[in-house]
Amino acid sequence: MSQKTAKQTNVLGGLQLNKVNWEKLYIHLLLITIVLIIGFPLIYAFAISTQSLQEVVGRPTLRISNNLLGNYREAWVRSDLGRLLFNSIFVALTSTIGKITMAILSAFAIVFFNFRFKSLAFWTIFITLMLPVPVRIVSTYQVISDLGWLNSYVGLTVPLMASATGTFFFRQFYRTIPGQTTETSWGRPHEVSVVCLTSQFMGQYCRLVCGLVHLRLESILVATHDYSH
Amino acid sequence: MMQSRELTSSLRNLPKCTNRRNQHTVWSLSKPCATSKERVIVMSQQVVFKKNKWLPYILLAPQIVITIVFFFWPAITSLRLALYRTTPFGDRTFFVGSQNFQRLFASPQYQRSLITTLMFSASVTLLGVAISLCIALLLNQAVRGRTVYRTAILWPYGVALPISGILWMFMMHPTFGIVPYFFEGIIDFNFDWILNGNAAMLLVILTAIWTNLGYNVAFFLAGLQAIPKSLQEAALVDGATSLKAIRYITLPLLSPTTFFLLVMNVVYSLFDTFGLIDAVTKGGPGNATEILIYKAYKDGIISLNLGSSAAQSVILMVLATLLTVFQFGFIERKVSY
Amino acid sequence: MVITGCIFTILKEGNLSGGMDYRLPITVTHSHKLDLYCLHKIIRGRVVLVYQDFRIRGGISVRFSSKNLVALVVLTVILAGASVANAKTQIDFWFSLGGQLGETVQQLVTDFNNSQDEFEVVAFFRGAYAESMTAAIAAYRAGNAPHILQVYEVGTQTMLLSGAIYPVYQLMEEQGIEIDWDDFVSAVYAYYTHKGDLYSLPFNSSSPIFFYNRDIFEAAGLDPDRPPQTWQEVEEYSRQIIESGAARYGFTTGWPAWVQLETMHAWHGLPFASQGNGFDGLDVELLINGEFGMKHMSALARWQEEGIFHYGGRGDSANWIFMNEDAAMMPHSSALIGSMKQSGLNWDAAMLPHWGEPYPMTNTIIGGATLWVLKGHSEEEYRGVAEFLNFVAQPEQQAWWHKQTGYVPITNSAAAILEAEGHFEKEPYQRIAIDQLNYSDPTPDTKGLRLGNFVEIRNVVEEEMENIFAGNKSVEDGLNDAVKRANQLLEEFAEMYQ
Repeated sequence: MSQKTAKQTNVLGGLQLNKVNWEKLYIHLLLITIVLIIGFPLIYAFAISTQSLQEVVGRPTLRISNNLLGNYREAWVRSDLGRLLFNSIFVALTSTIGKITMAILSAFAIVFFNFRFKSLAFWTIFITLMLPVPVRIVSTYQVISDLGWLNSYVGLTVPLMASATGTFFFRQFYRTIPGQTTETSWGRPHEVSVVCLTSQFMGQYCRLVCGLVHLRLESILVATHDYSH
Repeated sequence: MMQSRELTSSLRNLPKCTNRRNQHTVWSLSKPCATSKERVIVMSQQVVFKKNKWLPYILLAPQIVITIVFFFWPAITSLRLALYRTTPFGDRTFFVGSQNFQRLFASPQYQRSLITTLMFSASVTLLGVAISLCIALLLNQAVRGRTVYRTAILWPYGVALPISGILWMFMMHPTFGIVPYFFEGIIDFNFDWILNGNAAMLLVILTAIWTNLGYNVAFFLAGLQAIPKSLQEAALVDGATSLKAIRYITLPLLSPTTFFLLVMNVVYSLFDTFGLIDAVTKGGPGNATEILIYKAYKDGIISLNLGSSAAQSVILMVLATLLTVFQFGFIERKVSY
Repeated sequence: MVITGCIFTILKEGNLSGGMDYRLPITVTHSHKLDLYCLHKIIRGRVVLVYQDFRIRGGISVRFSSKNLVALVVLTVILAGASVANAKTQIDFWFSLGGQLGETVQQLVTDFNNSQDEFEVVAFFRGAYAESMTAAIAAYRAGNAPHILQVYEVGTQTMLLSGAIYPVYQLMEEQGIEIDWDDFVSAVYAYYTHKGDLYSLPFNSSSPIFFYNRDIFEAAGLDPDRPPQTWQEVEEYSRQIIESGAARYGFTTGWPAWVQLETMHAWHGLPFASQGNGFDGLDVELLINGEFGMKHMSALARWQEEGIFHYGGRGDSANWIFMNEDAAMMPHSSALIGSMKQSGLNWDAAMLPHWGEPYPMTNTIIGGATLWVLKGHSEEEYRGVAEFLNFVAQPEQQAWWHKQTGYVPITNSAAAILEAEGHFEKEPYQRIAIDQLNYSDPTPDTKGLRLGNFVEIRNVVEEEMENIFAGNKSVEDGLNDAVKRANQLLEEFAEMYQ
């Protein structure tokens, strides 16, 4: 047993080293192949986007032709891409900001307060995870139409702002902040939210967020102390 | 304060247990989670602000209002609509009770749709998770350039499904697509997805798998990195081959992640693929790619049969609820925070 | 974190009266309470833009700094002034034509707006026919339906029985506008009349015609001036074309159910469904699995197998097969003439092929869409609607519309203008659709189709056609299944209206 250990871990040169290298090479080759296969549609799409119509409907090739500018310009003009891009960015930004804001606020309320309808509120929010959009689309359409929000930015962004997953993540984050008894005190509840807001933009998962605000953890501990007991 | 920081970081590696009402975070030196009698260290109470009585309501108000207006109200309306037969403009409504549901289950098209959805979902989930697992295992071995590989494998997840559908449509087009051109001499398969139902299914399944690879690989990778290397090295020392090590050590430890991903992929293939079907095949030749959710849309918005569409929505809602409850119950118990 | 202020963003580009055409991303909202609040804020020097007299589309509020305040206050004054000066009554027109056809619609609307200054018609492209109908229904149920809605011909029965429409003949009567109903082309008129009165205004009516590629004909050794007149000739020509290698397939088809089953039945004088194709009652059954249906579908299925015919999908999906010169011939809507002209192909058109004896050659049924007027608006607005519809039906406008699009002119006087201009000599293919519609007087079986749940029925028929072409079902089974499913849909529809 120990002989084997010696062979695998202690030998620095010779056969052992080559064997390790072969394995690594093999893995890297496989990975490169996989990356190429996965990326193939993009490569193909890019190649086609540079070909003219005749070339596209002719024999399929991966050749990069010279219609790049022409095609992109035509696509931009024909589908008014500028406007569409603006719409997409605007809707995405607005609903994201709204979503995060609401998630912070509601998770904060659920974790750090005990009030009468706490469980009801909790389940109201989380039950929405069970109702995916396409399932209730006809009635949602009716509601938005009733509000007069058809064809507007409001109608696109506001319904998406109540996200249960956002609240879920922030709830988990808040629960990992331990309370601590210390003497000093400053800070108010909404400042905690501000810290979280800043850190949310820097990280994606709660653990990352936790790590980044680790330095501020003391201030949070201090702040939370003020209102404990 | 210094003490708290050190203590916190050293405690981070210990398994944590929360009691039932999630009020206490308990770090336990013994595993599994001890009962309160065996509690070793009670590190903290959950902080509760008591000063402002009205603040929580205000904080919750926006989300609750939006949830009620845009989630519950449409859901209830859907439920109600499912019990009626109504003309498109709503001038005549008849209460028919469960007749919509009965007609649905009796109709061969709905039964066909159920089978199609089952096949589609099973293929996307099982194949997707299996392929992602292999890729994640490989990726975990590579140390140099891992971030590069990971990004290269993750990026399809950022592409919206309808767009990837169109991308794959181009690739698999019977006349000028590169995939049929390549396989023409090798495989005898009719790639014309306008007429061949199987080709259409292949197209949408491949697209759905391809798009979701990034998501699966990311989670698998995170799960793999949580498995201590010492375990695997110990197995290798004991004489196990890599494959055996994977089978008996890695996979069981990865099972929470696997389970989570299986459920997520089922949800994905059932509900998120609506955009894909609508952009590419619109239910496919005949109704070869008409999954449940597309059928609900088609019956409601195209054929204006609101009662039947609402009934289908209700069935889908029940399905989604079951899946979510199943996943939540399992996850909350097994995954610890 | 409190968000206040009253910035409003205009979400649709509008043409404010007075020729002011602005494309700023500024939304306008109209709400009394908000107005007072905003007024208050303006006085306090904190808010921005308040506007009246515009449709609500929701608002987004963002706090604004005083730097921008001045600019926006100026804008407010300008806009407010402009609007107060010329308040036209707005009329909403929802249509579903895209691309070049859509641009022509917008031009038509602009011409009307420029011809008078009491009303302003605003045309919205609302997506495809199915989606725009759903949107209109939802809007109607919410109480803010558009004034005019373009609905495809398969939605006719739904609209007729809905109780939500204001029949066109009644509108014109009550507004005192004289329309010569006899001037309308009889095939077009007949489709949309109920008990002799016109319920919706035909707008873009088309008929399928037979497009073919002159270059391929020449290359195959066929005479491009002698297109096939019977289906037997189509088969012959196709074989010759394929054997000579001039093209891959003989022909394909657009809108499979409309062209190959609905139109073909009428073209051969046969009913598509019982009860006069649904005109005479709700107790309707499909008749496409009769002798003619079987004959035509069997031929098509056989040709699909041999490669003479190639099925390319529903609607316009098969267009590219013809545009790509993979097929030599394609029966398709006459509305395609506009795109054909831009395609660069050496194309021509002919009348649809016919099987010959023992079937008579009667007339084709129109496809396309019409304009319906919805209830729920004020008297004043209906006057504007009536004037717009009258404008659209004018012979000059019809002649212009036809030349731009290829849709059939709906009045005989419009056709006469075109004739006098020599238009049909220059473009003889434009006459074909009209000739086919007028080939004979419509019989009770060829007036049109009026089926409930027609959208779904057409989908069902096309589904079964695909099953037949893919070889999954025999022609008999496919047609019988289609009839069975369609009959059930018709029954369900009838149930609701008993």
